[in-house]
Amino acid sequence: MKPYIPLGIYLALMAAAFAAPEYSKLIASVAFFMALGQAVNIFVGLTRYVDFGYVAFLAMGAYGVGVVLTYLPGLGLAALPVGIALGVAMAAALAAVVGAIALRLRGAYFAIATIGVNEGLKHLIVGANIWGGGAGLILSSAMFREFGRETALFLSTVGSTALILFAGALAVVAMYLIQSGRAGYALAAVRQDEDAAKVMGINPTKYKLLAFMTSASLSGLLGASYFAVGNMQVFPENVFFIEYILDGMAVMFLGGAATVTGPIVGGLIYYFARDLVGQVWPGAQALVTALLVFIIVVLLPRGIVGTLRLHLPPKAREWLP
Amino acid sequence: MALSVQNLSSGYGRLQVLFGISLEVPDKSVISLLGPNGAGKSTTLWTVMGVVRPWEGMVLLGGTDVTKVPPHKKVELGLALVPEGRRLFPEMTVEENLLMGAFTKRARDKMQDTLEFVYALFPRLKERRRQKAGTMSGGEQQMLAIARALMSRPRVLLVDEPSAGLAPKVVSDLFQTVKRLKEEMSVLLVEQNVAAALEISDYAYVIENGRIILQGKPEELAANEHVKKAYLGV
Repeated sequence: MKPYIPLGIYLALMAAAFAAPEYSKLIASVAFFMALGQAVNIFVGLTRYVDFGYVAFLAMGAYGVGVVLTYLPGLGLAALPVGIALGVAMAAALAAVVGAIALRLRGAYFAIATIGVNEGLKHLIVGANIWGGGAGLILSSAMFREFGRETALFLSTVGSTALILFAGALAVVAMYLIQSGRAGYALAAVRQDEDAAKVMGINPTKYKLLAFMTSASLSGLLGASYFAVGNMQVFPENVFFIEYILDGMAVMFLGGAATVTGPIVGGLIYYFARDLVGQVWPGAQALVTALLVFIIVVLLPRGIVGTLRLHLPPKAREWLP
Repeated sequence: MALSVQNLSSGYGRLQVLFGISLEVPDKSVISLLGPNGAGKSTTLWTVMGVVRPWEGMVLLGGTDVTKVPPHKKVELGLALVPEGRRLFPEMTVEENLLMGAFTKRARDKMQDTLEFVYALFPRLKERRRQKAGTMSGGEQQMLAIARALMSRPRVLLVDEPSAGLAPKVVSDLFQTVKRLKEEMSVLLVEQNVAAALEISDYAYVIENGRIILQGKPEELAANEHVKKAYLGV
């Protein structure tokens, strides 16, 4: 498996965002779906578990940056890496806790057990009025103060786009490392037959937890980049918006679950399909994209890249992971 | 004693399946656990492995209590299971399935040696090593299932219904191979094909409704009226 094509695409998009800043918001919107699909794929694609509380990881990332900017003034530019690190750590810690408890459950039971995590955390923040409560955290003035106006505006446009693409590229690398090592074989075995995997000496919970925490950390980075840095605000209604996990899975299935290049293709199609529907029939995006995913899953269960790979000679397949 | 099961009870949810099973598997022997459908044979093996949680009783491996040890650690300690219905990884090739069998650290260090050993035991698998496991015949898949378990270098091999769905000639070849395994390890064989199993066993147990109802040397069981009537059709 050679990860150079998907990595190259992320790097090329990053170069494009720097070269043409006026397009960076558009690139960010497309890249958000790509990177989300890429991160979701590491968990859902590799384990076939579905986590309906997944969006909480995006939120943890966004709140990491938000909390550092709001409550730790005077860090200057260091607030950005510190905030991102806090967000990623909170996402990973949440995944560790949820995973250690719920990943022992089989597929559907796991999905049910996790459904409350996202809503529960949202209501905790709003109800207990922590981290800005229902009003959220407005970060623009803190960003202007810490980074300076010009830098803050650059960070919220080109900077955020580059960070989103970086999250996508990092997810490609993570997927590559997992798939080419023992963990990849262990997860493939668990996916095909969990009890048989156990009696091969594989500890399923350990490898599912590895995929879960990796995926969650990358989504934390994505949430920090897109909401906090990009929109300069963290609203609970936005960052806990449950549809993002459906978007992420749609992107993954369109491109091909457990493929590395799939989420790039899926993200591109998904973004433009939604955009087109939004222009022709505003408000019907969710309806039409659901139909699109339904058709793909029925007609092309392996997704676009997954199906393409079947028809490629082995040498070419290496290049389209 | 390679494996000793003492007074083992277990089940699913609130449904009790095993009621105090006790059996012994001495070093370098083939021991059979025989009985009809639904008697609890497979449940016994999955409980010994720890995939089904024991309710009561003990499992001793080489004299050490492993009752509460999780399945993946039992494999490291030298217990392996060939599940009923093979349970291969169908999307993986024959060789990938075998390599999965050598997942534990202890097995991985000796992987090349073990691979040669199982290919010598089942030359057919060597010929087919690049083939997807799901595309092979039933007999070949059963060979692969046994070979995959051997890759973990077990001291005790649990084999669940290897004869299911196979032609008589294939079964007798397979059982001769199982018999040869006792030079290296102990085998606990679960079977419905009582005649074939008794032929290669050193000792056998008969389980019905979750309880051991009979035990003895193969020739004793073959002469038993109940065994003759219920299992041997004579």
